[in-house]
Amino acid sequence: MERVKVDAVSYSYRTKYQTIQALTDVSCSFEESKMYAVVGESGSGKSTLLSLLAGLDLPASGDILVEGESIRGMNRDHYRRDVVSVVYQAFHLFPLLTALENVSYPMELKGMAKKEARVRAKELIAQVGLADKICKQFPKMMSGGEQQRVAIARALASGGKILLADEPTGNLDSENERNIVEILKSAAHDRGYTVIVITHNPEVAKEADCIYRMRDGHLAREA
Amino acid sequence: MVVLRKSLIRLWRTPVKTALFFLLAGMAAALLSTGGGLWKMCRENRIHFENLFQTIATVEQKPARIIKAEKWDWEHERYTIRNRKEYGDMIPLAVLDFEGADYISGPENRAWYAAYVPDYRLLDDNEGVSNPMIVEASPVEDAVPAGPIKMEIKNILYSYYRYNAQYFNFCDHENPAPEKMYADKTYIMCLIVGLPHGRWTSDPGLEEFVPWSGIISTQTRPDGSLIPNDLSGDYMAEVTPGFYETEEGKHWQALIREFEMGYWKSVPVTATENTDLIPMFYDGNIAMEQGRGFTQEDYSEGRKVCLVPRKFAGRNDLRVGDTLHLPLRFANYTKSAYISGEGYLTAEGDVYPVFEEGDWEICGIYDILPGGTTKGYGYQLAYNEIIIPKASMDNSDCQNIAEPGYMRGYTTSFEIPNGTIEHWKSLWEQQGIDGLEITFYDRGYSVLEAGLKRMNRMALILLVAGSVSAACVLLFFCHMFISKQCTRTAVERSLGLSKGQCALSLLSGIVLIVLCGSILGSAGGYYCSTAAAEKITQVERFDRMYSTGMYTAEDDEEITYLVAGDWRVGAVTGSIIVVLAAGIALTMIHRNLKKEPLALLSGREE
Repeated sequence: MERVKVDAVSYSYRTKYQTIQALTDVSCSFEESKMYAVVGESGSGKSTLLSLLAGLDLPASGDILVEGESIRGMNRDHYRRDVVSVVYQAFHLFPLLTALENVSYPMELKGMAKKEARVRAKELIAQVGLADKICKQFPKMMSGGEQQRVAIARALASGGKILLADEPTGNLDSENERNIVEILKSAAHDRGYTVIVITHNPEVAKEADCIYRMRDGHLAREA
Repeated sequence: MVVLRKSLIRLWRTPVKTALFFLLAGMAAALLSTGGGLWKMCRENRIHFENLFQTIATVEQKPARIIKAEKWDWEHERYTIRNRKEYGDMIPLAVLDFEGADYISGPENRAWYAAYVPDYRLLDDNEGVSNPMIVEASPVEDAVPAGPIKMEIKNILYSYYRYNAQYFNFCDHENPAPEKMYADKTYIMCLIVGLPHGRWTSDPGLEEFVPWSGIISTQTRPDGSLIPNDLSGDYMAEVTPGFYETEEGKHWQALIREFEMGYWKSVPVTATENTDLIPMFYDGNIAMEQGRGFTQEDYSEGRKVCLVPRKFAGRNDLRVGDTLHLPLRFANYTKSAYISGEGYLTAEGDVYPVFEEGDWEICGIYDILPGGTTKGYGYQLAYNEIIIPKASMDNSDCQNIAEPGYMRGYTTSFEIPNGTIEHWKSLWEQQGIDGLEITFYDRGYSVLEAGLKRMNRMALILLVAGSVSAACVLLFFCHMFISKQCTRTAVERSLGLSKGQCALSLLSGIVLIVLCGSILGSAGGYYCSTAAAEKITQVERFDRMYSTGMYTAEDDEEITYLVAGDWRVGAVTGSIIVVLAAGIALTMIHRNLKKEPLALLSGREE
């Protein structure tokens, strides 16, 4: 079932010296319970697409529909908090909060009681394969793989059913890469998430149910 | 609340940075609070001292030269030499009115005016000084008065006291070549008791009299020049039949009238624009026994009010609210206000007519405190001296000046703002006018001002140091806590925090630290400013007796600096730091929020 529809989206932005046409008439759709990979060269427009899907910006033309509703009509703060969550290559955990606090933060923001949020956060941390002892650790005390798992747990904690991952394995070794991909696949296949992974890594891409390739702002689905 | 709690948790987990920020913010607040406290104390002290201190200057025209004056002495039969000051041209008061001179009062050149008040009792029976008299007398035998000669009184034309004897001794004491006097002639003479040859005596008939006054006029123009006259200048004249019908005889009759009007029947009236310019008032030697002193309205509106001395009021049963009718006849700018029977005549040889007349209401009855002034001749208030506001006079005295208006220390003064003596002096030097001696009196304000300047200087240093350190501390730590936290802002944005929540997340911690630091620092500054002020100002203490123009019951209190701190200063400086912190933080937060979150979090590939 289609969860996200990108309909003829174009987007450009200005740099110091020129205007970049990042996306040109991009159309695609993303269904629930599937993991998608968006691949392409640097500068092809992958991250711009992610930015638009994450609700951090709006298309210059065209539209993005989430479960049939245009993103333009939504409160984008609420959209980011309730609908979509993002995992980054550099993890971007809050360095002064413990793993448990990092994961519970989005839930508390949505109004969940602190105690309940902590219980739920512990469950999520366990679900991404981390031991209980990690809960009290600060990010700098964790390995890269552990940090990325906590970041995924934080993304899952938001409750949104669209999980965007921007080069989630870019800073990880191959073993951690496999583990993270498995977690993302599990999120899609077992929990109904629509997982969209932006990656350069063909090993990660081939694990996806569907691959889109970006080239010069144009998107094409690979067979 | 979640955002706030997470923000505080983050602060708690960077204790060194947070503590340093807290301490430095507190120190900056303490510096500002101390500086502000001192500055406010300084300002309050200035106001406090302004009310207690006044700076006046007296002006005296310096003599153009000193000449040796010879005076014959028949007792020793030789000339005695005395130094006499000659003043030359009168320097006008207007020279003191120059560009930049900032006067509170004046400059004024005060005259006293003789007011003829025959219906008032001016002296008690036992009061009074030597008494001139005008008589018609003949020598007992032909004689030259080069030494005491015996004279027989034919007729007493004027004498305040009853002279009971038939004879007296006369010596033309200072005249080296007196003319021979004849027993068959009668002479009119204005005399005063002098020191007799050999010894003093009060035995009637043996007293020795010397010439006192005569047919002369000192009437001057406002510029100080003598009005030319044709008066004889004689102090003795032969009385011949029809003498009193002659011009000379009429002048003698005028002189008699003048003595009758002036001596013991006139009071001196001093007109001023500010009683504090009168040395006795300025020195605090005058106490208001009843009523009040003059108000600004009395001066500015020229109200017909007056201050009278206690003895005069007592003798005449006068009270505050009563009115005095004062006909003013002539002005004297030179001499002390003692009316001692000078026998002033106009250039025409007549008595001075009244030029100003009116009823003045008594608003205050003053008394002269024991001790009076130590400044010397002229600075004392005279018997029965009545004070009126200058503007209460409707007419000019320019036609009735009996003695010229050379500026004297006791007649000419002005008031300038406290602490401006040097400034005034520097401006005065630029005028290039010589011939005036200007003496300043500030009752020690200059010394107190030095303490105030020290306090003010320290206050400014602390305020500048506090402001600079507050700005540096806030900029540095806001940079640390905000500008370097743009990734955190981006992550929070991607988690769905609104811009307002992101701002609150960053701002709350900073404001909390600064608030706590400011409260502690300001409290410290409150105590520091008091302690510093005590240290700076402890050296000077003044007796109020030298510091107020009017006697009050609190004269024994010492004047000290006001060194009490004010918690409100700390509150204000603390608030300024908090507001400044919030301002800097919001500016930096605004810049953070303008950055695109994804560009920060993933780095734009494109």
